[in-house]
Amino acid sequence: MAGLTQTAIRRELSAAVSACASGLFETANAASFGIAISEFESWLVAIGQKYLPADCSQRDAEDLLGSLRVADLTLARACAAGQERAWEQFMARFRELLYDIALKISRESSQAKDLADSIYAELYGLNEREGERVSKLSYYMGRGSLEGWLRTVISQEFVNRYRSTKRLVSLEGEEEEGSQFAAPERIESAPADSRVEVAVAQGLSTLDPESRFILSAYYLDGRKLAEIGRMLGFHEATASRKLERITKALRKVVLEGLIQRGMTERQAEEALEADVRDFQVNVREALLQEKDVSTFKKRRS
Amino acid sequence: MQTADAAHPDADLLTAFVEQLLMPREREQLLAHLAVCPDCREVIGLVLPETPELVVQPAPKPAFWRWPVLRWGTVAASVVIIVGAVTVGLRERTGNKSVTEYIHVAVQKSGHSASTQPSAPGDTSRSNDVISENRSATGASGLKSAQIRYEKLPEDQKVAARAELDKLTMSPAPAARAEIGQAAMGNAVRDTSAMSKEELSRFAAERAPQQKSGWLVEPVDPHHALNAALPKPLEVSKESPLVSDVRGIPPPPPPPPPSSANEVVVVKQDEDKFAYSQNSALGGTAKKSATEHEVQALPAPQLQASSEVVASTARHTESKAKELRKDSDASGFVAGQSSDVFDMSQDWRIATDGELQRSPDKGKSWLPVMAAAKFRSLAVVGTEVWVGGAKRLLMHSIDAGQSWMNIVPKDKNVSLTGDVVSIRFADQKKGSVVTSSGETWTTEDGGQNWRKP
Repeated sequence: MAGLTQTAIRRELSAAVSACASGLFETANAASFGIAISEFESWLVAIGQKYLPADCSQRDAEDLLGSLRVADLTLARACAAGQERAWEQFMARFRELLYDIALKISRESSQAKDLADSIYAELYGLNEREGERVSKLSYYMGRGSLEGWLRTVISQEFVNRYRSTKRLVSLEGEEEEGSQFAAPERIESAPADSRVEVAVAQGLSTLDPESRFILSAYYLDGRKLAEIGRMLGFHEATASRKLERITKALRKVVLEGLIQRGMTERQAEEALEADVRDFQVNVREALLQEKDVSTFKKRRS
Repeated sequence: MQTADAAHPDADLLTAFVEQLLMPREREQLLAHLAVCPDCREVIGLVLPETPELVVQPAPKPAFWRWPVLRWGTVAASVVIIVGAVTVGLRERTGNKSVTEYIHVAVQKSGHSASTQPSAPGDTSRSNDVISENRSATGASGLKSAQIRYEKLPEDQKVAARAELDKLTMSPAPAARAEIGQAAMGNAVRDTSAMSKEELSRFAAERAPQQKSGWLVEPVDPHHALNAALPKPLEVSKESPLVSDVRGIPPPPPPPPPSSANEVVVVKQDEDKFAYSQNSALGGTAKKSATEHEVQALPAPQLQASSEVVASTARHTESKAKELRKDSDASGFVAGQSSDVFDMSQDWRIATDGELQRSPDKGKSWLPVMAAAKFRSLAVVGTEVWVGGAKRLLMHSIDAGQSWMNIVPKDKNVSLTGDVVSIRFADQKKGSVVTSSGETWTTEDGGQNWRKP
């Protein structure tokens, strides 16, 4: 079955690659880096295989391939292959930018320099894996811009470094480093009826992913609506209206769930309105305690 | 439902998510992960560009010229500015011109040059010199010198000379008078608020000789400013100070009928000889209604300037009067034209010796006003000043003392008698005057009309 799936993917993808490769090859200007079209097509197939679902159509494949940043992809792959001319272009475009990105993320010059140097080393392939020089640029798939990808990589590195540092900080370290490395705040929840918690968790499960993301970003991360809007690609006012609609819908679902669990309507309203903050606390706890296990990436055999 | 322990999306997917490049299904899956993964949410937050590139930009504001309000507002403002500039320019030109014209007329009448000898009939060369000289010295310094020369005339000649000139220059009187007064007094009427103490003393000393020279002789002669417009010198014959070269020229046409009942009678205190109506053009007699001020005009002048000059002067003064009437308040009193406006915060007082005084600096210093006259009562409403004194003396200024008019209240052929011992004005319109003879006169229109209850 998996083999048939692979064959199906290859057929639809192959057809899409055949249809798009020549045009994308010209757009990428890959020939200037000495890259053959066959090699270029292999890149496209690999990317398609990684991101296309099993039931994709040729149209889906063509849409995916058409959205790729093939010029950046070519540059990155040429750099990963060690081409000097490609590195010259990469350095001219991104050397200063790496430090600027690191500085904006870390907001501190020494950390920024450390981050930038670390990422630069990984990009250049100073690290060896199984005896081969591996450049981090080889993992770039062209789904977004190369600059955005670099920003994401640096952010991930920053989060990984300092989140692990936070986990390992001592009590004395907390006092010295201040709130940046302080332990996360403990959420104080009022001793609510367990039926409320269950109803809230049930209500959250009915929400669409975007609504849950909005609730998580707002209640758990404390992000502002403007930032949430930017994350999702709409205006702050839209984010505000969405949050209000989500909260009302969730409240309604929770009330219905409480009624189903034996409460009267009045009891259910009182359970939610006794302390408005409790409702938010319940939502936060429910968001943190999601248990269903499902991998994000489809594992391919 | 995903958990935070699930495999995190790679950098490409997170980047594509931030840049809105994911497929719809991919986006849903990523959002489901982001809802439960604080680390990935934090990465997304860090990756977001600082400028809200993903935010929908508001519609561009229309160019200002597309806004009707701004468009028409700009047009209206331009019109106002142009009209204001033209008006100011006209006033300045006509102001200077009127002063120059009056000097011209006076010189024409006198026929005298700067020398002390009267010129022969027809000899206009020296007159022209005087004219040009006076024209060039139209400013206050020229008027001041003419004023000083007039002082040297014998008293009997002064009276005649002044009467003749008053007839020419008075009508349509108040407007032109105020204008000439302003021109004559221009250099003496300055905004003294910024003066130092030394400057103020010099200023007062400069003015004092003028006011004590007889220009404002007792009783108060409001025509002192007009007198300053006399040419230099005025060496007139005993017959008439203004006889020589224009004898025989027919008198000017009678003045136009008065356009309004508003009249200001200017009275020479001692003999009531010189009473002029603002509506009498060039002398002549005008009979007024019973409720209006009685007008007494002098006999037609023996000596007249050329009728053309006089007529043009009359036309000019009439037009000027009309223009200035527009600027005046409803009472018909004409505002001064000088740009040297006293600070409206001045204080007024009558000293123990009856001298009217004005303070430009809230009482720190005091300057005499009409120092030759003595007053007993004072009332100030805004920029309007009323002062009264002996022998029916009642003076009114609407421009904080820059120009003055002598008022003689009359009602049904009955004039005010006695000394004006009390003046009260509730506002610019309603007021009352009490005399030493027990009379109380009231006005409802700022002094245009009076009634004796």
